[in-house]
Amino acid sequence: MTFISPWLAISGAAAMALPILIHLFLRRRQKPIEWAAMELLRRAVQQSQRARRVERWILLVLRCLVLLLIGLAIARPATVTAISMSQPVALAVVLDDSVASRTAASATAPGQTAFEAARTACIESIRALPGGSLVHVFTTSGTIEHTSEAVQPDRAVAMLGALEPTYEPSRARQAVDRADDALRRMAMPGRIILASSFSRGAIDTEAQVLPATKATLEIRDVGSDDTGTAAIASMVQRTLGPQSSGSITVDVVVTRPSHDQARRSVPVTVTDVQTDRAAVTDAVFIDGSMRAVATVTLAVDPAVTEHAWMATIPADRQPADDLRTAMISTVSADPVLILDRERLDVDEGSSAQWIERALEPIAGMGLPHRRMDPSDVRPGSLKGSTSIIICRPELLDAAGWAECTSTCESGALVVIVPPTDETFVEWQVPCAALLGAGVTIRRDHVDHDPPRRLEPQQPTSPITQLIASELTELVAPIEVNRSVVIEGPSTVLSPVLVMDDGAPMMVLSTRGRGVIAMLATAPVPSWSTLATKPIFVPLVQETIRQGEVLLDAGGSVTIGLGRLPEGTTELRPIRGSTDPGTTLIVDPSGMIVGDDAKPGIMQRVAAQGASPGSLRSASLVALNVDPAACDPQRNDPARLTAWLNQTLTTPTGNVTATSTTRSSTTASVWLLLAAAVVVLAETLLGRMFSVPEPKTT
Amino acid sequence: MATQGLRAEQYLSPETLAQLAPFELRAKMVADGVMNGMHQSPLQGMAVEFAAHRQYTAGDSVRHLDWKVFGRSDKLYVKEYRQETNLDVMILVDGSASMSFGTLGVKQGWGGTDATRRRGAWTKFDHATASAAALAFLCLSQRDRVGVAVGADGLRGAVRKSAARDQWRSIVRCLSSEPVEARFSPAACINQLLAQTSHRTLFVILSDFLGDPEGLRSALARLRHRGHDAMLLAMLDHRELTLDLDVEAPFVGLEGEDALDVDTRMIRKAYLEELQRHLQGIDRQARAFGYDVQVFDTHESVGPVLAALLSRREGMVAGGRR
Repeated sequence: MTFISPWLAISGAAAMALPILIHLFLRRRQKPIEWAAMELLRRAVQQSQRARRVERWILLVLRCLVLLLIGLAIARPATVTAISMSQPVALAVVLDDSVASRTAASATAPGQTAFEAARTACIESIRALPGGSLVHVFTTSGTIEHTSEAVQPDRAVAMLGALEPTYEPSRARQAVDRADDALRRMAMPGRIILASSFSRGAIDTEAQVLPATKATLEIRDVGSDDTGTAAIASMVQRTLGPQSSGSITVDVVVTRPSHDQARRSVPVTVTDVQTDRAAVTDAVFIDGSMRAVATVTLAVDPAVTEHAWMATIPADRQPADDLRTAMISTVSADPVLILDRERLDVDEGSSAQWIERALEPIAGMGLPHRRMDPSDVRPGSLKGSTSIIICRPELLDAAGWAECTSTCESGALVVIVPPTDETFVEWQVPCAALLGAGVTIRRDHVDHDPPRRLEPQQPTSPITQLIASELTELVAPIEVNRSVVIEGPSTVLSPVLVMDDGAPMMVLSTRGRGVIAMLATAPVPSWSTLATKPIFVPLVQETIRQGEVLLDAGGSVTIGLGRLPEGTTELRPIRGSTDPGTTLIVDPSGMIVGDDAKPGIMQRVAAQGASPGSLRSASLVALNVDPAACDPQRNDPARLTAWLNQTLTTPTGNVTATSTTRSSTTASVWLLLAAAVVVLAETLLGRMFSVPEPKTT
Repeated sequence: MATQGLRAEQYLSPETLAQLAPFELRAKMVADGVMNGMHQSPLQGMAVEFAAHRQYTAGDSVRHLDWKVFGRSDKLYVKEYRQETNLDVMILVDGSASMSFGTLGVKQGWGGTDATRRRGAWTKFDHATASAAALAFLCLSQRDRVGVAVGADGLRGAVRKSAARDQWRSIVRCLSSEPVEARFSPAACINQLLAQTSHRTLFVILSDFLGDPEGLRSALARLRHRGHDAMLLAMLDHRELTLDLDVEAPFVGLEGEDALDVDTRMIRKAYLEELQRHLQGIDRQARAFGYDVQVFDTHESVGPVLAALLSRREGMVAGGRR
């Protein structure tokens, strides 16, 4: 006789001490009570207490017995039947090929990924099988099905050798269930081997990975150098910008629920799961901030059209006791191209100078940028640029506008600022054509006296989503003295900022695979106070970052449990999800709304809070969401180890091929029935011994 | 001195007085007092209340011949009268240590006995003192002579019987100054009191009667033998009457008994049966001698219980006369 969970049996036995301790404790703490009618008391004691004391001990024993029986029942007693080493068995191999298996294995297997180490362990187990044994091969990703029939060991080894790690989340429980189902159909004794690194994301710790009936479950823990991560966020980016120069900037946004946490810096490792190139950087929380951004630049092969990144945060360096979210987004590492001509005769500074200051407020920190004379724009000259800011549209000729349009259509962000100088060039026509059909820009600008202010309640826009909570305060001090009038259908132009008369101050539109943003006023003091107000730096940087996110060249993925009710996006799983019928709701910042986070590759199917059609549909978004990964409590290595010990029959990797364990559900049922009978007896006995309420004489 | 500043309200509330006002403490037997009162005297023919006619026999005084009857019927009849006199009441309060048991908090301005000071609670002795004070007040208002004695293993303090104006105050002062200790021996106390008693007296014994029943029976037998009347007022705390405790603890006696490990939940039923049996035994003994017994719960006020006792006693006396 053995137990599937021997710790529970020991706990049940230990729990027996509880009633006894309570009994002794209550007995010890009573102080002497003075009493007058001692003779009556003595006679009553002589009459009844001896019998009562025996009855009480019986009650105590029954209560201890109840606890013991329940403990034994939960521990699932099992009988061990010895089988000989030469007896053939049916082996089900469950190989972890999830995205987490792409990480490096532990130091015991240097140079190997966790997948390779797990595969080696599986092959070793297969080769140790006695003759006549049969093998089923399963994977935790569930993408490769080999459940139809058992194969010979040699064939199974060949099948394992052909497997590659996937980008799918791990679904170990379903795989073990499938293996168990397969083994039930076999006449011979069954055994399941689950080989994995058991790093975060490799196994769903919520699931009870236990075969229900017949087979032994053995764990081949191949180890992992992942010493415990608080969060893993991974994303797949299917298409890079066609003009990419071969590097990409990955932003990991880490948020925490409050700003009074002690830790200021969180190390974030960003790994390209295909090339295993990793970069470590710190996400630094500025005082009073709940959000920090870690930015790394990784080199990518432009020829490869699919990339995946994984961001990890060590469990012991999580930013707060309850990490809220970690989000990955990518920005092209190409410098922002500013189309302007160098000028020295402008006292107040040109639009380009103000924008350059906003892009790089401190030297070396911010978005890299470079200048180009608009008159030099010729076909092919904008290649390699993902973000273009046109500060002097009047200097672009027809060829320049054509190059800008084609670059945008092939996937680039174009930001247009009206010219500040008087000009006779009709730049408005090609500019309006770039913005979209039906858009017009009036030839003459409008002077406002008194100056216009901005509407306190600004529309929801992806450009301003990260500063939305402070937007009312940020736009309050802005005064607009002069602006151009941009008009167009609402299906084409999406307002980003509007003035108090309803006229747009900044609009957004899409063209081909690109995104166009245009300011109605120039960021110079003679036109508006925009450039001198605190909103300007975040507005410019967010326009570049979020604009690129909207391109195919960028993407973002978030794990987390944050909730924002407005402007949500509905995502539909298209691959890798267990339940294709369900959809996922993500808020404007990419956070998952609700607790039901389904893993898989998701595609946006509907958006609320934004003008449909005004923006192109989002890129494919990959969500390798391990809900447990959002909760650092569940990812504590000690807790994981305890969970493994509790739920698995063989907690280490030693294969015990000599015996099979039959879990005895029947025995558990009988024990529970016995406990119920004891409870009934205890109740009846207690009622029999109960003393009636005293009556006043 | 504890008796300094003693106020009547400490033991006798206006409510109690109002509840007792309609009643009188009547002697069941014939009293032989020396003052005019409301109780039947053994002497006849000397007082004002006519009782009966009796035929003249040789030796009768001719002063009591009813000449009017002789004139009408030519027969000699002697007029007989019933004399009413006052009653002697002796209140014996048990001053043993067991009387210092109490579980009720003392009301502000109440108490003041040795037991109250030691226990900080309204004890059985306090309740006995209050009952004695009420009875004494009632008797004095009837112009009966009242005395009090506090007894334990022997008489400890006593106030001689008197109907004087400040007698009530002396009685309360005596009760509040005597220590509450030792064991109660009713036989010894009654013996000492009988030695000092010449007239027929109503003895009111206030105790918890938790001692040896044989000693009580012996004392009652002596009282009956000497022709005295008696009332037994059993003072018991509410917790003693109900054992409303759910503990397992050692119980220590107040009169030096050995400690006893008791689980009250286990023995409550047996205890209540024993208590019932004990009280029935006392009641049976007292009724065998024609005496009254009344159980007092110290958590309840004195007035209603005393009023019930006096009412019952009045009914019995009136029935006896008829």
